[in-house]
Amino acid sequence: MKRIKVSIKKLKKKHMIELERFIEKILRADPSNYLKQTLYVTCFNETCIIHEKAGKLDKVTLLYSGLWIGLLINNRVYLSPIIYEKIYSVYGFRAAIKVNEIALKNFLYGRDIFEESIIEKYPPLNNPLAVLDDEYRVVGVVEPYRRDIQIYRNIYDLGLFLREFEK
Amino acid sequence: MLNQLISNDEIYREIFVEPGELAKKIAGEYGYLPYMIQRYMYMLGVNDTYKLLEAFEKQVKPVIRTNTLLVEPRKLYSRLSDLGFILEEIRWAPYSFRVIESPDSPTIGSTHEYLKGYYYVHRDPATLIPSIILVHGFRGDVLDCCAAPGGKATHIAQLLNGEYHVYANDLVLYRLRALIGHILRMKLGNIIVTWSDARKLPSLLNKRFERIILDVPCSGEGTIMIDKTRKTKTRQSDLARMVKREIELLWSGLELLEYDGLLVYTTCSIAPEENEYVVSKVIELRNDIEIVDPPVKLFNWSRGLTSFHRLKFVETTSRCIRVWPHLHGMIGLTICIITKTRR
Repeated sequence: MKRIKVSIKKLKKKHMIELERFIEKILRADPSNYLKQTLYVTCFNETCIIHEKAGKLDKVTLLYSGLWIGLLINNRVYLSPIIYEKIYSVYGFRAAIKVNEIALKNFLYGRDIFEESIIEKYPPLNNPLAVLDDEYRVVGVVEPYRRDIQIYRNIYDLGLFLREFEK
Repeated sequence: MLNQLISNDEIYREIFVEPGELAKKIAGEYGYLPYMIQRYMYMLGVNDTYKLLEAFEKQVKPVIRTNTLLVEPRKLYSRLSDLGFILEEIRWAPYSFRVIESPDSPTIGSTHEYLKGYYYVHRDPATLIPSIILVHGFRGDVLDCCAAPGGKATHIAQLLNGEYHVYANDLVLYRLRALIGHILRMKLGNIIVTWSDARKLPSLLNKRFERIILDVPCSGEGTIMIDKTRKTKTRQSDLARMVKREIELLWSGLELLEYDGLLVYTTCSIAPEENEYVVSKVIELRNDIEIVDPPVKLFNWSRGLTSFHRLKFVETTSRCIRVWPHLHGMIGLTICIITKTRR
């Protein structure tokens, strides 16, 4: 088994701003309804989870607490399905795609999504996009590679935890 | 202080069992360490020892527990049935289903529904019992001292309807990572995850709790049907070391318990040394605790032992719960519910 390295830190200001902007400009929602003033990042090796409180609880190491806000991947922040769904339930779908069953299954195994698998689109589409399943639940996030290549890169999917955390 | 009161050697001397010829013969037939068989014979007699050993040879069928915060049990049942799973409702936990048959693909731990957090996979229904008992009729914060990988903590979080907090602590990092994976997958917002040796928690944590669950690391002697290596894994000296650690963990758990609160001490072991003996030892060492009856009866489980071989336990260990593989068709599990009284 690969040795686990754990680190706990506050979410950097630039990442906080990135999250706030995405919620405000792209999803057209009020970030203060979804994000606390200070957020924390707990990393297990390369997988970094953004959540609400970490560090110390009295004198005990606090690894994780509160809502799952998002993931920090390659120095960029992405919202969690919980936050997407909370926002969509109030403001409707934006920056999202719904894909067919086969593409969804492959996506949950870590694969990318091809343009032809998309059955519904909710603009804007040139940013990170939430991937919706048949129940309109968010199951992960993709990002367009380039405008001329009609492939959406898997940023994360809900199979991540089975692949990375439960093994 | 506890270290001065109790030693490995003392425990080893007290729990030591010398296997007889019949025990050695049966151990050879079934591939166990002879002392284990001798203990089963002391507890159950020869006939039921054979029944227990046969039960340990059977395969267990996993159980799924619906995450009722995300999906209705009937809807989940229907979706998994459509995928080819044959499920049977657990009567006393009707949001849970035993997986009777599975399709070739997907496995029960890799369906789309699983990834979306609609359910948790337990090894066996018996593991649902401690959480149900702990929070029966209770609303408030709960401490799970040895929580990873999270079956009980996520169950309690759900039974509390996502309200109040479950403080989920563990020492082993890779298991804590799995716990956090389940929390994220199941979208639970009321679990606080801490990383510590539970024996140190009383001096590290200021908060005290009205409900505590202590599912201690144990020999796993009730789960031989899942892991056959357990037939020969634990020598008596190993068992004595585990028992000492279990006594220390129970002691610490009690230090974190509010007066009149309840602590559920549980092991997936049928060993009286890890259960009634541990609880009796701690009761002998402190005068502020007592074993209480379960607040609810889920099915016709067995009572705890009051004696074993040369050992006499406190009488109230009869209030503990025993789940036997050969009687109840589940893994072996023991539960004692302890309250703390004012001295």
